Amino acid sequence: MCDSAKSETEVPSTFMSLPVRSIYVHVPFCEHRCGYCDFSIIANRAELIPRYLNALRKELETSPHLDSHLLEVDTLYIGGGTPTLLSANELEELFSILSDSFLLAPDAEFTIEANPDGLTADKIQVLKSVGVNRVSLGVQAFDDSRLIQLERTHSVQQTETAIELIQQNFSNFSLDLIFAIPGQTMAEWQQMLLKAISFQPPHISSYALTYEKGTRFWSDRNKGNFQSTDEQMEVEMYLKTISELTKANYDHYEISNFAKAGSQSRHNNIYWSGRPYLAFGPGAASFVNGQRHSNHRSSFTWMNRLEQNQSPIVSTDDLTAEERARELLAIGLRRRQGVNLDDLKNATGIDIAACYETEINDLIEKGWIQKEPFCLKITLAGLLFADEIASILI
Amino acid sequence: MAASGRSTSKAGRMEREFIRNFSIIAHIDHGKSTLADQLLLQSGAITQRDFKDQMLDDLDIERDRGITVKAHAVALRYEYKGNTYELNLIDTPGHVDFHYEVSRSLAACEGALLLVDAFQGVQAQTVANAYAAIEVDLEIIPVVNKIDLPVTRVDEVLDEVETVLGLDASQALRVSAKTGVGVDTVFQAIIERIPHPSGHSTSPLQALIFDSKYDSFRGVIIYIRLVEGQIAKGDKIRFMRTGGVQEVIEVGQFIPKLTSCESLGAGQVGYIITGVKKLEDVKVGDTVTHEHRKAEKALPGYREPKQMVFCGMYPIEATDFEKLRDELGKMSLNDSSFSFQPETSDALGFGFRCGFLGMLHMEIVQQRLEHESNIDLIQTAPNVTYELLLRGGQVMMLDNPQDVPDAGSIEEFREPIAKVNFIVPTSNIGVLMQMCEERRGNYINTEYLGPDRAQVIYELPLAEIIYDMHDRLKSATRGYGTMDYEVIGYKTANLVKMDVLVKAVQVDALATIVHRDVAEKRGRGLVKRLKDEISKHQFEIPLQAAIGGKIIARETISALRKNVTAKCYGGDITRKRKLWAKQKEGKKRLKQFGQVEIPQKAFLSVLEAGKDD
Ligand SMILES: Nc1nc2c(ncn2[C@@H]2O[C@H](COP(=O)(O)OP(=O)(O)OP(=O)(O)O)[C@@H](O)[C@H]2O)c(=O)[nH]1
Ligand code: SF4
Ligand SMILES: [Mg+2]
Repeated sequence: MCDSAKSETEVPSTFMSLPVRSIYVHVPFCEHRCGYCDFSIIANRAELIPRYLNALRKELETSPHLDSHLLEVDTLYIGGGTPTLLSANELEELFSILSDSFLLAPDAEFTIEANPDGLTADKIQVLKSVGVNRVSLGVQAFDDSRLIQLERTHSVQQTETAIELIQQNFSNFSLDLIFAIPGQTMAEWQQMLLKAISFQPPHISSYALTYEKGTRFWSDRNKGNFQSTDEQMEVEMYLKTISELTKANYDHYEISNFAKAGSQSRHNNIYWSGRPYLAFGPGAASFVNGQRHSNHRSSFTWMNRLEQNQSPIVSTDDLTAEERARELLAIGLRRRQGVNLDDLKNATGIDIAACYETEINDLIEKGWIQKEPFCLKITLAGLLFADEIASILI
Repeated sequence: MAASGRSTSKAGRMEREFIRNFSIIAHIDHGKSTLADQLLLQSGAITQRDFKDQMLDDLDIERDRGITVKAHAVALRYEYKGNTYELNLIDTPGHVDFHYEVSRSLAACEGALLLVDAFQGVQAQTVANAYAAIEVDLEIIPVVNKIDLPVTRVDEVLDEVETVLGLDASQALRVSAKTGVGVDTVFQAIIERIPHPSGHSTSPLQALIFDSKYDSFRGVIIYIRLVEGQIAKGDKIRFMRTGGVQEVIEVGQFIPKLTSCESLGAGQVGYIITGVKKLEDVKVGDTVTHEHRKAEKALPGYREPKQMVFCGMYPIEATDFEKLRDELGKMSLNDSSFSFQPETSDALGFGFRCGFLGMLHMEIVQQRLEHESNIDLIQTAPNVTYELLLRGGQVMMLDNPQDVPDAGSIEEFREPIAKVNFIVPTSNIGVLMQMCEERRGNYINTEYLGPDRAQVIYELPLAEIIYDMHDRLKSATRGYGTMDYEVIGYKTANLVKMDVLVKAVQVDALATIVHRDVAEKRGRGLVKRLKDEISKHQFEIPLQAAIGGKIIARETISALRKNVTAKCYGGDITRKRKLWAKQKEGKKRLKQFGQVEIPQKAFLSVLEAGKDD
């Protein structure tokens, strides 16, 4: 522990007392599990949705962080899974459950994740009626053979229809893309980017394909069934993403996220700036009062526990002020706006720049981060090594 | 039929007719410590309330791993046919590294309980330990243990006892140390079949030191077996070999805790505490006699346990060197079979060359170091001791590959050879022989223990078996094969030193000694493993293996282009934090060589020859 951490007790650390104004709800249903996916989902079991909704209601009712008063929130994010796999009626019920606990602030951001195949006009009507004002669409690729390769259940045709529908009903939306798919060339990826830009989405998230333990992609790659994209190529595709999207007036505001002016994801910025949030559903993790609580990742265990009046939480991490400060820096650096050291000090009581002087100077020397008045920022070169940086600072 | 509680708590003198001294010996995990528990319980030496499993295994490391590494002595009182008997029991380790503990214990006894697992039957250490007992003429009582197991092969096991060990199986007992069934017959056999000790309390004192233990409060506790004479508190005694003279401050027995008494007589087993403060000042195997009435000669002693494997231990932080010295010193206070000497490495700086009885011993010492001190260590790959005949005619012992002199000055390069006794299912003989041939083995013979199992004997270079032969045997035989070895001498072989260059810099701590015929293959395997262990850097890292300056194998670690996870949202943060923290912890165990960071695991990976194929 560093010296200035001693001041922990004297300087009140404000992060402990910030009120919660952000909510995440995890909907763990998908039609089919995509080959690369290791999320907490259950595939092809739509008949479990009513049971899930009951469990969710119970989780909200019994949450130690909620009381009988409605909690006013600035951001509400329904993620998955595929929330739009719920029928229009089930979606209505989901929102009625949420409205028993939460009240949207007048300018709140209310996002839902959707896949192109389930997004019908009647569901869009329900979403609009309950106040959803942002849709994040899982496009992944504009090429049917790539979609098949990824084991997605939709076609490019369906994607285009879905985007049109969204554009007619919501001004704010985001498209998710995947690059470095085995076999994908640079030219192909560039085409994909241009195609995405042609729809003028206010927001784009672009992720390198990753191989997670337990997925089919992981085992197939390890068996040598296919060759994953060469690392150098992946890096070049990433750099191409940044240049193409920047050229098209998107602000590269986080490692994988790009937004037109005023369209950054407010909800995700909550995560990266270390403000508190509550999260519900299997595998969801809350951050409140300086503690991280994680729910059980298995949807069945999560439901069983709630049905048996047990807490769905499997682990709680109590972070010390110093751990908080380090985490804020490690995660905050993922944002290109950088980390304001004064704010960090005020929020945690830790003078991180003093504690980690050698480490920070090393990183500056490597050209991975740079120092500006009151602020540390990641460089373009550093973006490629964000985890390396995090593991040095954490 | 347990003895009454009254007579069990007291230590003290006993007529030799009522004393029985015995060891419990067996292959690893056949239930020695569990049987000792039962004998303690059923004799009333401990109550059910104070009882815990493997009661005598009191070292942390023993309790952690469920194995015995040190012999443990305890005195029981047992009521039999109207008389009270003193039964001195010594529980012994089963693992081959600690075989010397068994030999020492046997020298303090007239009999031995030889346990054989009712399912596993006679195994390699059963044979080794039984022969050790036969050699010193002990009365051996074969005991088939674990008869409660759902599947047993008692009849076949008894056949093995007869054919392999030459013991009379009709006299064998059948027990379950776990449930206690048949344990009464063990008491009966101990008393009826094991001869009582033969010494006289009136003769001049001759007591064998069969073990010693360091206690930070009381100094050294000396375990003795009185052969002749008697010993009492206040006696002036002499250690016949080392020549030291001391006064007996305390004398007593283990019941099972240290329990002091006035005196002990011929035939008894117990302990004395003298002014000796350091373990190295007491020689196990020495004879204790009275200063004023000396015995004519010392009892036959023990062969010193020999260190078989050596490795370098280096602090990652150079400033921890003195601290490491202190910790190693403390460690050797408790364990005189472990040695350490300062050495230096160009790559690793100042450290120590440490000697161990075997790989398990090495692992145990290293773990204790890690638990008990907070020094981050780099440990180099273990090696055996080589013997070199130099051109000038001198013979040199070598326990560090870095010290191999110039090839031109070596007349003969000799390596230790072990006689290895394997016991395997007959269906695995083929694989076993192939493994041994690949390791330059010299076949001796095969003996069938029954229709399904055989004992195969090979002579093998110690260096070829010590590192991973046991694991490989286990996996080749689905856990059914066992092995035991004994070093029988040195043999000349075509050996060379293989150097390793990392980014064109020779890293002395990665050097190994290999046989010339397999050097290319080993070299290729080695650089490949290093490639897996050393993580990517921001630049390319060539790895080369070389003999006498000639490159025999190479690999290149390509440059790291990125290390970034695409997604880091609310639910990911906890997992990411843990991952980053783990990576950070991993970094602590890296040693910087020039620009390259080499992790601890890389130093050990040089020996994983089994993966070369
Ligand atoms: N079922 C059964 N298990 C037993 C019996 N005796 C011992 N065991 C089990 O066998 C395992 C090994 O027992 P130990 O008494 O530690 O064996 P050991 O011979 O002292 O082992 P080392 O000291 O490491 O050589 C333990 O899990 C015991 O519980 C028995 O009679 N029946
Ligand atoms: S749609 Fe998304 S959450 Fe569902 S299986 Fe595919 S990748 Fe996973
Ligand atoms: Mg034991």
